[in-house]
Amino acid sequence: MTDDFYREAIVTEARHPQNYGPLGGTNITQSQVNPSCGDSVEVYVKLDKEKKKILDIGWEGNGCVVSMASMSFLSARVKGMSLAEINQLGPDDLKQMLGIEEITPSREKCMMVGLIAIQKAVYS
Amino acid sequence: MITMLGSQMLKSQFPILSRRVNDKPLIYLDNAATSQKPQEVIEAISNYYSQHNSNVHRGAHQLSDESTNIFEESRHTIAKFFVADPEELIIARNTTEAINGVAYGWADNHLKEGDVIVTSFMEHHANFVVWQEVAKRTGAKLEFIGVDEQGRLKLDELEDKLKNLPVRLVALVHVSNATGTVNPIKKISKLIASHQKETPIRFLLDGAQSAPHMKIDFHQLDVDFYAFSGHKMLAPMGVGGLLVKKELLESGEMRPWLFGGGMIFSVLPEETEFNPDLAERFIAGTPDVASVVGLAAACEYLRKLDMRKVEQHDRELVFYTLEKLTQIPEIKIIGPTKPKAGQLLDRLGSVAFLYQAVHAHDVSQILDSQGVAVRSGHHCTMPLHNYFGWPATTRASFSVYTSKSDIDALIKGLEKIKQVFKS
Repeated sequence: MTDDFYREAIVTEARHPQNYGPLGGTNITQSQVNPSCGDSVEVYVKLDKEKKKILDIGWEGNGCVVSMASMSFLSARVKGMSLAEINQLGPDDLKQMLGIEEITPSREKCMMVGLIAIQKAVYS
Repeated sequence: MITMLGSQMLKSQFPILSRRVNDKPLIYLDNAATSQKPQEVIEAISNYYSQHNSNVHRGAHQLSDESTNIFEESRHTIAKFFVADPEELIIARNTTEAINGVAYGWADNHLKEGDVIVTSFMEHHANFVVWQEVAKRTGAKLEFIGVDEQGRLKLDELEDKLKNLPVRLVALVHVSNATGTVNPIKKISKLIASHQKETPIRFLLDGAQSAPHMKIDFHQLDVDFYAFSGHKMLAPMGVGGLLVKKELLESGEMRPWLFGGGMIFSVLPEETEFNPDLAERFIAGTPDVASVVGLAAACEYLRKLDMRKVEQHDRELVFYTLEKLTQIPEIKIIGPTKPKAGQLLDRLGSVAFLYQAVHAHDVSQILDSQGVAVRSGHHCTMPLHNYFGWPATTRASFSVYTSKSDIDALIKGLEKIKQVFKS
């Protein structure tokens, strides 16, 4: 399973993440940490006029490969998604994005840190 | 000449060490989190339950007498291991509970608004959060001592506080679980002694990481409280202790903090008199006798190995690990690496490090895939990690059965990180 995490695709995604960096003209910023291992992310979200959809997203963070790759894939996925759809996302969707079938409870927290940040941001 | 313990022979006495992890032999380097248990300890617990189990200090039947005797003998063995009187030993679940005991049984009864508690940025949360809570309850003020770049306490800051503030309690870690630093307790004791005022300053030591690695002589240490966990020193989880200087018990300065059965002498509707027996006064409710038996067996096991040899063994492992890790350019070691002039390196038990541009969680998981178990994270020392700006560190920590070949496996495991993160 470890080899799954450290596949080139995931490591490369974490090292060269999508949508990385702060975003101007955003509606919401939200930070989230995983206290058990110190992963942290900050997301910047731009919503449409009706505040029903994410138009654009940027993020910054520090953490392990799983948390960073997961946040990166997720940032690409949520652009254009409605807030209702975002609220439906869960661990299984993230596993699919990472291309893994199983995850240990401790690594699941790493995987979830980005999603929790986005869900908190759009429902704050 | 520094001697090593016969670690390969010792390994065979710890059943779990023969299992495999991720289809590789287990290399267990997470002993600061918890140690493994030798067959002798496992058997002592099992034998207690299969032969002697009964409640203590209560019945007048054969099993109850046996159980009471075994419990008392075990308490004596544990106290003797720490060179403390049996009455000075209060059984607690672990270091955290023992420190909470000082908070509820001592601090809450004596501290008031304006008093000062001194702790440090090196502390485990167990010796940090407890005092934040005491400060809230009593109005006392919490002051912190800083840590230098080599991971040593800034004693001038302590001296300054002792000189200028109404300090009532100094609560420090003996051996740091994050930096491995062995704090100079005698020097600190003297410093405190030279600043004693009319209202005495009490000194509490968090011994969670010193008890497994060095000879503890409670009387010689000359601290008021010493807290330790059994599970880090080959004993079962859920048992540890608080050593309290006898005069604090005799004078009643240290009060029981758990109340109920066992700890009483007489109970009347209007008032209860506590047990005059100093040891029994602190045993409220049925104790975990089997775990106390297990802790005594662990103390015996370590006594036979000789704690002075255990310490030498550990020093040798620390030196070897430092020597190997400093050869890896991506690694930055946390804590003392250079001894003070004319002294042994003041470090025991563990070596934690940062790996350039790779998160500690990834380091530990890649090591795990090769059967090497280490800890990553903040090791319950968030204030220290924030103080130095470390997001997380990876820590290899040792026990009596750790060998140099285990360290070699760690170093070999670290090579894989470069392969994974080549991009």
